[in-house]
Amino acid sequence: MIAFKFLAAGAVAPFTGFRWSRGQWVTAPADRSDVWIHACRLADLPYWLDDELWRMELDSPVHEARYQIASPRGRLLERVEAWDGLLAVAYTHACAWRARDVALPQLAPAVRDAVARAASLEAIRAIDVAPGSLVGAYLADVVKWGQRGLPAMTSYVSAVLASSSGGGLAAFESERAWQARWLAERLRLE
Amino acid sequence: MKLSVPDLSCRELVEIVTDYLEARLSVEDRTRFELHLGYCEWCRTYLRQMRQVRDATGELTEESLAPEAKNALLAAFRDWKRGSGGEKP
Amino acid sequence: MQPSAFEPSAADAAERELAALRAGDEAAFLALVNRYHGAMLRVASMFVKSRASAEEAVQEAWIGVLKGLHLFEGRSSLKGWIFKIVVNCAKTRGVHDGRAVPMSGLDDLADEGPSVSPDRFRDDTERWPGHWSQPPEPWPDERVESSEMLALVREALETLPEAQRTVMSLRDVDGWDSGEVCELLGISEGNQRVLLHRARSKVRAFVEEQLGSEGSP
Repeated sequence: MIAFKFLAAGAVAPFTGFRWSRGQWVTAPADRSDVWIHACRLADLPYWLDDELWRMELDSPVHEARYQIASPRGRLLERVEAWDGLLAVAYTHACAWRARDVALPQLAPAVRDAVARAASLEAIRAIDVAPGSLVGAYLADVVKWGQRGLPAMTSYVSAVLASSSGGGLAAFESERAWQARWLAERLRLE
Repeated sequence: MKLSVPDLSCRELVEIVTDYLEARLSVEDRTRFELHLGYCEWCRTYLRQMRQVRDATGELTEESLAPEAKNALLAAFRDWKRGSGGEKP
Repeated sequence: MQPSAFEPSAADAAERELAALRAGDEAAFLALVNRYHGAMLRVASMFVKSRASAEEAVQEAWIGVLKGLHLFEGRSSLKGWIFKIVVNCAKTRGVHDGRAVPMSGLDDLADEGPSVSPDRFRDDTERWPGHWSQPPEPWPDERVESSEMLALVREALETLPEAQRTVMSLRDVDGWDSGEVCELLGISEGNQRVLLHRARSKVRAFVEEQLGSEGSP
């Protein structure tokens, strides 16, 4: 099965420190699911962002969990070069502006107009968006992280913002789905 | 104000760091833990520091045997060899 | 997930060691003593009143090991057997010393509260409840890799309650696995992990405090 994997720079697994080599099959003991090879379906990508994105092949059996899939055997196929620092910043900003759009209907009218007219993240930052408004406070958080160009943080906070008006986890996951579609399209993964 | 998120909070994470390092978390808890690390640089720092503490502790050497104690033990060993112990080649 | 290299059997090395001892090989005996001495002292200390008493218990244990060597069948590990002897010697001494509570803090794990001070996190009335409000600062690599770090960790270990210090020392200094520690101390895997967690958390906090208090403007 073809899947995707985010790795730290140097094709290093972020949690185990394991160094991957392209093309080389890696096997884990069948009874140690904690060291199985974990990977992403397209919908899972936003949850696992890291420096490098790789296309990989997983051998069966593939266990499908809610936010990732896993197999005792897998190998890296090729690097998805399109995921680089520039695209990460583009993604970050896309999430930030999307959060602006999601927040707009919930902002107080005076604030809403200013935010709708804002042409930059700096401009949103300059507005006092959160007098007693939770969604306004989240929006300020998104903009703060967005300005720092941090994709994982910005997109997480955006998803939380989307969940904060009563939609709960379903709304969070829905926002993640929007983020995943953005990535799949821009990275031409489908 | 509980968040409806798939991960956990930093405060919850620091309580289960050792369970994670010992590979004793359930699959669900390990996923929540790793989902959180995915965006939280501060908790990545905390986890790294727990590993650094563990690894530095591994560099410590035990205190060594004092000369008198060593001599006493050697004497005991030689007694034992002469006496009932020690297989002859 | 690691492609594993096959190590020469640890069982073979243990067999050779036992054979050398039985043959009266002094160097083998000394190597064994040096390897286990510190841990034996620490374990003995859990049961007796004084350092001197612990040292005597360890000496007695080695005599006991030598005397019992011909009876040791090798079904359990040599290490496990040696340490059982230490525990027995130390317990007996402890009774004579009048030490009332051996292994205090091993069985009854009182609630110590959170591993990190709650004021380091945002509270539940705020947004991002439970997230860091005073996050940890990364430690500079050159300080982590220095002898200063070792000294700090050693110092921190000494401040720990005895049960926590013992578990962390056996696991992290001596490299025992959790099964060996649980068997020696007669505690559950879960309890052992709680003690290890509290110990490491405290040591980390100590190091953080010490590293932070120097050189800050």
